[in-house]
Amino acid sequence: MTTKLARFAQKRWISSTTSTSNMYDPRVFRDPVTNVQELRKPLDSDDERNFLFLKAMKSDATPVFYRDHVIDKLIRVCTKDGEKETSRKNVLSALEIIKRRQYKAWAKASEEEKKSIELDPFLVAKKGIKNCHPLMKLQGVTRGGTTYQVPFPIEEPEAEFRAMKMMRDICRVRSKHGETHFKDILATELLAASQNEGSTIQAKQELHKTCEANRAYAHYRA
Amino acid sequence: MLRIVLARSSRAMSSASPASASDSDTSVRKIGKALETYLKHSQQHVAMMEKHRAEFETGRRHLAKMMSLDIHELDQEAIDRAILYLFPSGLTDPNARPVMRPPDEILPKFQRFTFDEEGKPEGSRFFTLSPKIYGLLSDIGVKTHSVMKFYDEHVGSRSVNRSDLEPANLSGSQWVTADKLKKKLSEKFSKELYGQVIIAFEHLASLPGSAIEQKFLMEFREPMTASTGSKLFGPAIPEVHVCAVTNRRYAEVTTRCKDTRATVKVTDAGKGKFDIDGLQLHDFRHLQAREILLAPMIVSQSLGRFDVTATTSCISNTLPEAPNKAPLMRSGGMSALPRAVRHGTALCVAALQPEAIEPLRLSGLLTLDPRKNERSKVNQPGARAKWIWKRR
Repeated sequence: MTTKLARFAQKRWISSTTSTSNMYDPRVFRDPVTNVQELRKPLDSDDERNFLFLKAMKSDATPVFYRDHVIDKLIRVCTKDGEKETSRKNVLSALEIIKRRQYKAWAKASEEEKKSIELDPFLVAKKGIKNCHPLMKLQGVTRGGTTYQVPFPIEEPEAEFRAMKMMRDICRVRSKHGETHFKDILATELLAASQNEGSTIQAKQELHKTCEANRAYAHYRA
Repeated sequence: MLRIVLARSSRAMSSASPASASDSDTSVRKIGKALETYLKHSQQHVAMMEKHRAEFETGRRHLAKMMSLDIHELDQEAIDRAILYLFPSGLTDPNARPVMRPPDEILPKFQRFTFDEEGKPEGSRFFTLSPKIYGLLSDIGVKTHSVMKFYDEHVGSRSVNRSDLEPANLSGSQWVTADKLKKKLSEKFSKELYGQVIIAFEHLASLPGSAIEQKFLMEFREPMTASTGSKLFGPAIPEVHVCAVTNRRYAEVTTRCKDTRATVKVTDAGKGKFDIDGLQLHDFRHLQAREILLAPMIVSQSLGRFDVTATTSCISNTLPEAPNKAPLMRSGGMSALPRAVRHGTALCVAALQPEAIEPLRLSGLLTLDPRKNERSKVNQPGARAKWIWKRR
């Protein structure tokens, strides 16, 4: 029946661009479950996934124990020219460098200082990216032929992306200048960002300063 | 019914007869034409049905005599068995076999209409060829408007239930098929009209606030459990065999991903070894490839339990035009081979470990990936890429 309907809907006077351009028919396919805990629970009897197909699992969604949403997004943001394996190697090496540095500092510290040192590089990276989230963004609005940079509120996923993008650009510029490798600079930036220091935090503060200066244009928000 | 219609007709005729103007005559003749045609067809249908009922009773009596049965014992089931005995048929189509049933079940039904005092048919759908299906479309339209109005009036209000402003819940059910809808409405219509009805239903069901029409929608839905086929997209779960030499269970399946075809054999009571075209797991130097290969074991919690043996080939090399080209070593991208092996491994693990079928299905590991390279289009550099726009 679905094939008949799809063929029927492909006539000229009914638009079906979205569904025909996707090999996964949205009428019969649903997103797969990638959480291992959710997989163990049984489905409700009236859940539609009992009767429909599920899409194939993505290549980078295998539920291994080190799977982390933020790190995966950082890997995707740092990918250049489709070389995801290189980006993955860089990011995971940066996490390893963070682990080694924190462990070295932890070994040298006294007993009461040991409690305040975080040894998990995933938590350090997540805290660093969280600290780099901007609160506002600047968007170009044209009024009367003049384009103003108007501050707009920003949503959480875009804030996360912009934080990662700022960090990536800073690390790329520095690695291009030949200081050290990308992974070393990324590790340094993540560690500094988790303590509210570093170039990415400065870039975020610069952005907030510009938004504050352009506060007069806030009424141009559509 | 027929007597009432006749009475109405006679009254209309008698009321028109005193006036002798030609306009009245023309008007009466036009109205009477439709009514006259309907009455003629109705009388013909009644006469035909009477004749066929009499023939059926005569046939029933003859059949009782032939089978040496009492006429009162011969119900429809006995008639069916007698016909099966007297006219044995090797035809495989059940509709092509001889049958003896009351004419009310076999002959087409007669559409009955009502007429008003002036002899006109009631309802404008009399003049369409399919009054019931157009009536259903009209009902859907009226309910769609009422749902929109209901939502606009009560959005943000506290006087109605929260659940009444939700779309209708259609989980676990699907729309009735065209044949069932024809039987339900006692009317024939084209596939295009059926498609229009389904589109209208889908639009009504997708509106916020359509939960108030849940009962109307469920009249035309049927449970999905009765008619759902396989829940797997792609090849089915293979059979389990036992190797006579090693006395171990194994399963074998052939599947594909993009341009890579993989034949996977998974053996139970193993050590977690991989043999893919002679390569082991550590020979895949990409971390993502190793993750992909181990995904079925992780989801089914059976790491180190199964041995996997796989051979892969390039589908393009086996096509008819392949001898004219240089054979490709491999195509389909870097992760196509691990994903093809993963799909095959998941199907075999589902065969060897049936309790893991549902987690594997929900995680999407048993689904054949239908995606493939989109065909390049004329007048652009690729499937969707375009040249940079220049003003002049």
